[in-house]
Amino acid sequence: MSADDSENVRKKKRKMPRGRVTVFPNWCKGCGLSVEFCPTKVLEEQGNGGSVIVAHPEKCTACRWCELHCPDFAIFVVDIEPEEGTA
Amino acid sequence: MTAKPIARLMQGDEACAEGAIAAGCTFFAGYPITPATEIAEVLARRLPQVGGKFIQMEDEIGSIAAVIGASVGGAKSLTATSGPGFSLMQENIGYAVMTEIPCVIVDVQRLGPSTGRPTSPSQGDVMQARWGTHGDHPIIALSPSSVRETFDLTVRAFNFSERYCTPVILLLDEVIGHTRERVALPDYDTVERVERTGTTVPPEWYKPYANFPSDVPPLVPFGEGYRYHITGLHHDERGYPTNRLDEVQPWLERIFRKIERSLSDILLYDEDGIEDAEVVVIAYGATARSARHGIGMARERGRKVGLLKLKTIWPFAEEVVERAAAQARHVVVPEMNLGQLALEVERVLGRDKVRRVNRADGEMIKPTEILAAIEEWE
Amino acid sequence: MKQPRESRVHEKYLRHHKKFPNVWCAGCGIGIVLGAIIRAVDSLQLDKNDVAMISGIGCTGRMPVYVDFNTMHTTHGRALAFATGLKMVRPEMKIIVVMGDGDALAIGGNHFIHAARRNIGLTAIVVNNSTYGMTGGQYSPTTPTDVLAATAPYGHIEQPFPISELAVAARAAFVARSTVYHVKELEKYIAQAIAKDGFSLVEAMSYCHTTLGRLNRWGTASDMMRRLKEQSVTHRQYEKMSEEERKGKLVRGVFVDRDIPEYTQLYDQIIERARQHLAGQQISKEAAR
Repeated sequence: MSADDSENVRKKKRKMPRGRVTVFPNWCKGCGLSVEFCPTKVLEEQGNGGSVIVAHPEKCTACRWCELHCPDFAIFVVDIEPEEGTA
Repeated sequence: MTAKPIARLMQGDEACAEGAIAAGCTFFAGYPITPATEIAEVLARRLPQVGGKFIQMEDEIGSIAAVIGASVGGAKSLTATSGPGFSLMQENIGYAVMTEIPCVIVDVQRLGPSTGRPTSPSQGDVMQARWGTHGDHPIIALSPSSVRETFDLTVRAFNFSERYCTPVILLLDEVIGHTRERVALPDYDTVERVERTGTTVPPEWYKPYANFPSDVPPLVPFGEGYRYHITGLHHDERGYPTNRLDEVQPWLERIFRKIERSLSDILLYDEDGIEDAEVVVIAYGATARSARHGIGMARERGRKVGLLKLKTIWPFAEEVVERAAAQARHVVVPEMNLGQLALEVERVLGRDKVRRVNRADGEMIKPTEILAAIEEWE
Repeated sequence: MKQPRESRVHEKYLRHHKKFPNVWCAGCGIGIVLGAIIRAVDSLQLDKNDVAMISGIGCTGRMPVYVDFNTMHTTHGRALAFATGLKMVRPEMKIIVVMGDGDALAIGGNHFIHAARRNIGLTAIVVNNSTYGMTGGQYSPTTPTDVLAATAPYGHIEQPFPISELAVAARAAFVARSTVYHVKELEKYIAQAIAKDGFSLVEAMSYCHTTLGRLNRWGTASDMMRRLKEQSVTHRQYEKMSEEERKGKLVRGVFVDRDIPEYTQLYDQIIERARQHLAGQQISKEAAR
């Protein structure tokens, strides 16, 4: 087995914490903080100054940076079953 | 509660402090200032004796703020000051008017303006009591003319304040504050105490600035299960800030109506010999005593002279004054200022009917000066 | 491994009849501080009826209306004085006083110093964005030297106040500083401050990207948030730095945490003393008869 293969085995066995992100579009002002600071780039701005959208929900690791930093309480994260998979 | 059945020598300032205790005051915050300092010193000693609390704040602004904060917590609260401190307090007095929080502010008037002469009397803060804080607002102000009356009007001030959810100003002057007179105070258990109306609905349905008995908001103290918002911004029934014309206008009307509909309760005055008077003297505070002597002298000379002693200065007792002066030839208004309440009397009766007797040099008005004004027009 | 937190705890504390989204600019740190306060109160399991939030004037002053406590929006600079009166008559309440840097340290400076000196049981949270945001970005007691401000169009010539160090000197019982980037640390300090009996100060460093930030071209809310993260260091990190490295750095951490008697508890002793004195007087009167 090559070094790469054992890497892959390790990654597959590690359980990544996962979260489901929900945005309240009426409350989100599109300030961009959650978009810029999300470590896995789950969120994206729509470009019109409106609410952000959950563009890549599968990438959420439930770090909650967005939920804890949103000045408008417009975003929250629920823990879901950790899944095996790459980070 | 200790009663004081025995007569003793007492200063006006002390009578004010005792009046507060009798009225159920449990909080004082103030700052030392001549000639009101004694009120603070007496209460520093007396309040903790009755389980109340005293604090000397870092300035007068902090004092009135602490008084309002304590009132929000449910305590009947008092502060006492003189001209310079009264000037500092104006912003927060306006806050108490806007938020309809009960409190009593004593101003022991000194000769002003500015530092003036702290140990001399004046009645120079009358207009300031009415308009010192910015914006259109009503206010209640009382002025006693004896040590015993200071005790009584302090009690009244607290009762008006609680009944109408408004700050009440008590205008003493340095003479009444510092003069000692023999008084026999009543048993405090017999003194009438008015409490805030409170609310009649459960917390989820509560709106602090709605459901009025008599236009008075049903404000409940903080910490009793009713959570709400208080702000100096124009606000709606929940206390939340609003810009809406259909919320601001009714509020303005209600605030004034709250006081105006209760004038028969609020306007305190004494009349003596008004019915057939040819001349009526309208006086208040320490000057009312000079007026009494002056009128006595005039009566000895056969003149028919009446005295209208105003104990409520604001709101101005327009109808009372009109009635009292109706059949009189003229009216004399003596004041230790250059004409402040006289402006109101002139507004109501016309300038031609009013003769002012003024001094603003720190001296009391002499009875002979008032006699001269009574007689000059004869 | 941290316990997963219950989500949407904020909604249990926000006033349902209030209009949302809130009044602050998109990306403003004040909402972040409010979130930290809510979570701190929740972690302490306090009864809402026992909590009061009192504010001064300014953008931070708009905070209390949003939250379901006993709330008061008072006059500029005087929040601590109002709070002092409330605490005296309701000593069992937890009173949180939120102010901006201008409100607390300029016009409110005197009340700030004396509330700390008295060690009265209040939790002061000063949101420090180094400007008067609501009025358009004028300089405040914490605006750094040389920056541009609405009332310093040629550059600011004053020294800024170190708020936390001032509170320590004024004898406060607990003083800590954090930033709106370091929310978990901020929440922890706020909880410690509320739980503390005496006068506690938490200085929450924030930014104003719409006024001061725009004048000085400091970028978006995200840019200024990143600057906060990069410019702030812990005590330990700061100690290891050279003079040059220290320039422009903000120290986070607890500055003081001491156990000194709280004011209202001391006053209870006064009441006891006064009552004994009165009782003694009455006994003497009886004896004299």
